[in-house]
Amino acid sequence: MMFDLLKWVKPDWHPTEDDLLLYSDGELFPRQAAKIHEHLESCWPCRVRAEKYREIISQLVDCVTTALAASIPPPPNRWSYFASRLHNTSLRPRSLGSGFQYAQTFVRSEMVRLASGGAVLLILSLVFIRMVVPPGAAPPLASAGDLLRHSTDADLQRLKQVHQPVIYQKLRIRAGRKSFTREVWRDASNHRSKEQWPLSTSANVKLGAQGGANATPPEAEDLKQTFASNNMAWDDPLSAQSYDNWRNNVGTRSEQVVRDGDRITVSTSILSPNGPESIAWRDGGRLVAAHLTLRTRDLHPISEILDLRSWVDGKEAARQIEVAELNYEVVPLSALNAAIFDDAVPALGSAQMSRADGSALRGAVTPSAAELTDSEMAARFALHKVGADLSAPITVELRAHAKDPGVTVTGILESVAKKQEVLQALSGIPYIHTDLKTEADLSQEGPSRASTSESTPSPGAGVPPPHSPIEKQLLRYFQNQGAVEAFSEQAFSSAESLMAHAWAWRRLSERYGAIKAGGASLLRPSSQQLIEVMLRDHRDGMRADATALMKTLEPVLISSVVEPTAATSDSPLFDRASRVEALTLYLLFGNPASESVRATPEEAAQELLEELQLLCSELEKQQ
Amino acid sequence: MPTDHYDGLHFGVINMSSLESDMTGEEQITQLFERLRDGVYRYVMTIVGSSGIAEEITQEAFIKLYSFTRNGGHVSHERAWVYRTAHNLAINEGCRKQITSASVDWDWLSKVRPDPDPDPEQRVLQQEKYARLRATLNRLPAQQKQCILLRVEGFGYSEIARILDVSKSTVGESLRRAMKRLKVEHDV
Repeated sequence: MMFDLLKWVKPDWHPTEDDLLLYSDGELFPRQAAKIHEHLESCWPCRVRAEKYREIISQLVDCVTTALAASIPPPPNRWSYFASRLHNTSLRPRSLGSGFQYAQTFVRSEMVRLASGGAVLLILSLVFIRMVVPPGAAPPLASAGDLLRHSTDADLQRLKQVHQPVIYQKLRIRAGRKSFTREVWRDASNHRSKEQWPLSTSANVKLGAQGGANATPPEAEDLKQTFASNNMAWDDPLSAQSYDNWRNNVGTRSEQVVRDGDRITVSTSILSPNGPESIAWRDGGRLVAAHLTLRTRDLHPISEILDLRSWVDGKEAARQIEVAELNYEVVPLSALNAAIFDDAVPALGSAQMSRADGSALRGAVTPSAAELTDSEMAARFALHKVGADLSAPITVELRAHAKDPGVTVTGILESVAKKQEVLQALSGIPYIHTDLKTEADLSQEGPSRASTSESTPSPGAGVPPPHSPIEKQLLRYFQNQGAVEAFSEQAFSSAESLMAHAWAWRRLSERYGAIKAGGASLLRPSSQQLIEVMLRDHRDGMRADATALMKTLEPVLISSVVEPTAATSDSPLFDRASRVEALTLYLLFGNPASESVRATPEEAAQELLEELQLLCSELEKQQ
Repeated sequence: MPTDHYDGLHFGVINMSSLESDMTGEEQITQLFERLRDGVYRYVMTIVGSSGIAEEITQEAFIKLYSFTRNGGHVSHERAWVYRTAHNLAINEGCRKQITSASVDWDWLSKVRPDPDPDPEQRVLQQEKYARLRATLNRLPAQQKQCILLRVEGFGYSEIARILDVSKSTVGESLRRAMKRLKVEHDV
């Protein structure tokens, strides 16, 4: 402590500013504090000086904890992703490496504190830490898994912008001392791919203009084997998804994310690899470390370094493969030479990769009921994130007592791109089996296969009759048929979306209730939070749609059909949303499916507005 | 001594002391997150000045704590551990975006809400007081400001020293200078 004890016994002694601050801060030893306390009892000027410090402290605490807390903007996502991030982290294999990585920061600083007591240990530890952490490496801001998922999502978004997208990628692959140029066309819609190996990088072979050299090098087969044996996609060698597949199937790993200007590099090293101890090059070797570099602005992968090892008869050999992107484009299939895919091979897409992951995990362990429930909730949340729990008829079924326990996701999707998006969202979640088809698949298989899954009753199912019971009033209000149709479409769209959220909310609520009835231990807090986030999102969606519907309908119906009155019903959320939809369809399309609508259009319109108001206020209450 | 409960942070084997021992790691972290997140978020906001980044960093700090303990690490004082991790992440983000202490203006302080139901005169006085305080805090060097904010969050000198990775005497000196300046400029 920084006190001169002698000064404390002088008769004319007064505490210094430092003494008073430390006293106010409670940082003095008890005897020193007692001495100052005693002095302040008898010395008015010093008491006032001490009180000034207390006042500043009081104001600071008020300012920061009350005023600042009340005025800082709330977190934009309201912490809604914490549960899923925690859950994803819990699904990852435990890694001594990452624990060490976090620990080393603390160990390093405490080493410095204790330097006098253990200089040798300090030097050894610092040398070791220096070897593990490259100089200048920044600590990760996002986890490797998060970045890879975002990168995959970003690439999928690019695909969605193009009709029947074909990915053209020109890569330089360096294996040992040899370097090759490889061009790949991947037809995402039809799951086929085509490759070419121009002899020089200046070849003008691009986008299907097959005119250049195309000699597949003998090393290509080895490279293909290497990628396959390490769970990476040869058809899509430079991708976050392929990288993610590899890292999810290795043993204990250590990871680092470093941003350097316009590039972010994810580095992964295996600490204790899975698989046989001995592995030869002809078996592909073992990938022991990899570095994937992404472009910061769009998280697109631009290069990759793969460090491989072989172990045969106790001898170790190393080799390195570098993959760098020279060109990348997403073009519509129609822009290519029609013959380019004539001799194409089926592509090993994300669906196959995903199944391979699931099989590997299923074979390794028998999951507990709680683990299966976690997987189910992770799958539901993945579907929720891509909006597949709203309109698509997709079911998520937990089969805890089946011969092969797992979670089955079954459904029909409107397009191949959507199917890929869903498969991508589900990839990495353990114990998942998927049976997803597109509408095109079903039409090829014949009409009898069209209803194999639990279907979400579509509010627009069936062709609504063209005549609305209030057609005359609407025509009078809008003056022309086109405006009436636009109004009806807008209202129908809001009602349809409202009902989609209501169905999703109901299914989830029922499932949540069933899980809780089966035992709270089945649901971990992170899964519970996922459910609550999804339920909240659906309530928010219903609220937005109900408000939109109200804005669309109210001015028209009030002025042309009814006068609003107060209403007093207390139907549950789903019933009310369902009633709103039925009334909307009846009023605007004369939908006869709504048997319970009232006798006259005026009464139906009035009830619709009342129900909408009640639905909005009910949702408001549950916010 | 205020440092006693810090022994585990050195190298020790300590469980999540203030939490229920029969809870799973996820439950413990979730509970801890719900208890501490607002304070951590507020502190990080004062460094990075962006709610989105502050939210991300706050969550990341708790995820790191979870990963650390799950992979065999032991933490005695999880609150200080989280603040320290969040501080490092925030400083790193600050360097990345070239945010300096002076450039992070506490804009939101100019919109401070008064306490519930003060009379108009008190409200004006309070707003002026907070505005002056804000101006003084903004002029403080980063380390002094961080010491003050962590003190306000209830950390002792030793805890602040470990969070900021400086010596305890540095913390004392920073606080002394900051308080002296606040006292002079604030004219209490």
